[in-house]
Amino acid sequence: MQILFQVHLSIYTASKTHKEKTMTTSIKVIVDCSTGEETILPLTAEEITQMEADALVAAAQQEEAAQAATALAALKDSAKAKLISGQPLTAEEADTLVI
Amino acid sequence: MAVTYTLISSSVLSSTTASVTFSSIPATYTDLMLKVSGRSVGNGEWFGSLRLRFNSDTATNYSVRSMTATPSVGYGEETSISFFYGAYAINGENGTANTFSNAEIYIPSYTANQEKPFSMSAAVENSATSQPFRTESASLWRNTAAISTILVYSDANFVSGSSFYLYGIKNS
Repeated sequence: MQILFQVHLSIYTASKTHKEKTMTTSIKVIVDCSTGEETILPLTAEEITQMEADALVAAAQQEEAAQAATALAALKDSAKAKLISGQPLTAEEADTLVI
Repeated sequence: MAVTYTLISSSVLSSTTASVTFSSIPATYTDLMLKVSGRSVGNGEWFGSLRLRFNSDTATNYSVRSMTATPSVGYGEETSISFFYGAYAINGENGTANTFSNAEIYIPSYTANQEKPFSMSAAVENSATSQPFRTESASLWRNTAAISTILVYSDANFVSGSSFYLYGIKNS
């Protein structure tokens, strides 16, 4: 599990950088549901800025989730090792095992 | 329980596109369902995230709780954020060629004067690496306004052939 999250974290970091290059030339589609008319327009500077800001937020969220998952996995591994060797668990380790 | 499904509008992309916006959504239905078959290009990966924004609301009004499963592991995440964020919900450019994800977003009571819960169920297909993902999320848009606009975007661009179908559902 730790490996998976580390891989995902690096993927998102790379994605964010590449995305900022591609969005500047992108277009958007607007579908007016009242008429069914579809309009294709270039993204505005404001929209590009917003998407770039969103990308940073998403990357931070992903990193936070990955770190939390890694920490939980480490606690579980430690709890398992202590159970096998007959050592007492910490409260945090016990929380990973008791629902 | 849904009784009738009506296609409100759709878009099948004919070129690489950053976003699709459904505007002027009629308030005459009970629920909305958005079906996305998407594939991204530009992030260099085999998956991408699906993002939504209602009524151009950029405030931190979206609560997202999701679970993602792969053949070997699963994990969950929970956040409060300024847009809906469905991690691992569309295919990426490095995935199996010509495969597209399936994502379904269900928005009940989209015109009700209350905060709007909604859900997403998505599958990212990838037969080449044996790593298809399944993501389920339960989310809340903490805004009482009727949903009249839905912006759909990703962490990269949608490729040509990606499709977006918005259905209205009546309960009677």
